[in-house]
Amino acid sequence: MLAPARYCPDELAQVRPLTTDRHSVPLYAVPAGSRADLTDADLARALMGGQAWAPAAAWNRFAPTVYGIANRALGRETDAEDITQEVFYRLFARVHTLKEPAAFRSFVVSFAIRIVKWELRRRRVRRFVHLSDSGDVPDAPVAGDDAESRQVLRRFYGLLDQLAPRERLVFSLRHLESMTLEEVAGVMELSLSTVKRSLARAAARVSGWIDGDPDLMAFFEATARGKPGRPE
Amino acid sequence: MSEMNTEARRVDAVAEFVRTAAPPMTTAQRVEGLQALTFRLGQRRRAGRRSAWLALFAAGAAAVGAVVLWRGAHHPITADGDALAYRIEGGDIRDGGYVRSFGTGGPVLRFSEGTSMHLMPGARGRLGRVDAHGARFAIEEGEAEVKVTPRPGAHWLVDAGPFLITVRGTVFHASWDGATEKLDVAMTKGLVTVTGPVAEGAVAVRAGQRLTVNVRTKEVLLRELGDAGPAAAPIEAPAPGASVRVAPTAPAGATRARTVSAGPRMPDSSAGRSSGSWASALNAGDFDGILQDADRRGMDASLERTPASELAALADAARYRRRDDVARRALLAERARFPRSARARDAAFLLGRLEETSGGGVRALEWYDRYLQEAPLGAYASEALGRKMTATARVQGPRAAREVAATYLRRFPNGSYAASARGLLDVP
Repeated sequence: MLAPARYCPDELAQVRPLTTDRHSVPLYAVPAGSRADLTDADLARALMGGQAWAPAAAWNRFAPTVYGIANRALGRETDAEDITQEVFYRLFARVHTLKEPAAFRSFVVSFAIRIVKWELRRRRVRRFVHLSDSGDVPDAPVAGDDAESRQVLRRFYGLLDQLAPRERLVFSLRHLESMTLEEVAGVMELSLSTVKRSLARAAARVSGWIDGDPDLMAFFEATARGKPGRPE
Repeated sequence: MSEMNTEARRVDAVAEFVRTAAPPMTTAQRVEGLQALTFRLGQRRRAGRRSAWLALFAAGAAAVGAVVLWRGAHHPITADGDALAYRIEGGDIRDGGYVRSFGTGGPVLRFSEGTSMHLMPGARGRLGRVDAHGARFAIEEGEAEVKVTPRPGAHWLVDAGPFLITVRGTVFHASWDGATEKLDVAMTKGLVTVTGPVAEGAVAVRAGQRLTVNVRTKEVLLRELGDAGPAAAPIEAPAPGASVRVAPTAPAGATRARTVSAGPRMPDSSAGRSSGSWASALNAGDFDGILQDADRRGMDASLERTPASELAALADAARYRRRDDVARRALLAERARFPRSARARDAAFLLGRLEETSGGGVRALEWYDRYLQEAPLGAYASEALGRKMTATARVQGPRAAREVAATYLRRFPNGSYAASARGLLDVP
């Protein structure tokens, strides 16, 4: 017997084989649920139930979020694409560990953050063993609308690379993702006090570095005043 | 304090700049990422399968190595978990498997074993189940070119409106026009079978043939590719089997038929049927032979004594030949003699169709209601509700049909009558 062609929230009871003894091939009536109504929990259940369409649906729904977190945390589009791939590749293998389908989004974000953290640690190890000429990977494309923005971002992320992975991620989640301290603590599985300490250290160091970089200082001061600056 | 404020301002400025400078994921990134991910997942499944086989081989080699080797060589696909990998070009797949096109060429679904499904520009489709043996794909509107790679155990299903096309290895075009409720299947290579609300049983369509079904008028035409056929005239043709037959529809009772292509020999209907069942004759397309056989035996006797399957075949043959009187009697006999059978329930719907085509709108409504009561989830439920809606609109006016339209949309929001239902609900 064939499985229902797709998952229909709250309407599974209506999915019935329409085989009659006149038909040699079973037909199925698959009521069409509204895709807009598909909740995260429905999607999680479909994924856990092995629905063929669910991985693509999960990707379409959450990939932009994961990509955004990775891109802002790592500062390189190509890395963000790879990380997004990796997140979903591993996520689909581990989705059965999700206990609360309604918390699927949090599950995805936590998963993404864990993998971003691994990536940051991997980078740090690579710098220690000098797997790149400069100890980092500076030439990969970064986001930004224009050459100036890209240059500033490259320099900024060059500074961030000096932070420990945990501090960098805490800083990124708090300031770039606008998460609350409690949310940061939750997704990073840290205590609130650890998050506060890490964040304070990271913010002080970032501020200090900007202070020591006249170009960045000029740019961000100008930005803070509401008009874009230009490094001399 | 001031130093802390300065630090906070700087950090805020940095954060604001990074948030605005980092662009969101583009559509191209999302589509390409999904394709890459799909392939990786496919590779993982295959790798898992290889690992499983290696483990099996190692264990089996210790015990019965030769046997395990043989099994490994002869059963390459066994587990349901080994679903085919696929990717989509020129589009993406959204919630519910809905395939969306990006370009003008129409999206192409490509499966790892070589099968492809190309939705033509303007067409809409939906990918359903995907497993190791094939997939189920629905053409919701428009035309698709399907190329299924033949292999043992392959099982592909294509929904086109209310029809289901079962495929093994073949190349064909299928289209469904929801507005006119027309199915068109043009076979380039191989064989498919089509089931649906008009043709009873599976209709076999072979290479070089074109099947056209008009649900509204219950017309079925099977002809050779390139044969325009009598386009203007309503056509009803025997569908199953290898032969191609085109029979211009004439007033009830006329049985003029024209064989335009030689396939396996058709039963000689002129001599009547002296042996074999009506059910098998129906599958062979020998509708006239069934009716002549029933006449020869005596219609009353046939209706009273033939088994259920034979009675259904007689009813179908009569409907296909527009012998409405015989069809009506056969269907009523089904209901009277086998009242609790699925055939009896289906007969209610078919009686409604008969009444509707002969102008008996009120009686048609009664039969549709009866069918929907007896088989609310039956094979013809969507069709019955849709026909009830249109019949109500015709008999009692559009406003009276609005309630039926709302019910239809609630139950079958993507059904073949959905557009009509929405149209009725839009009536002020």
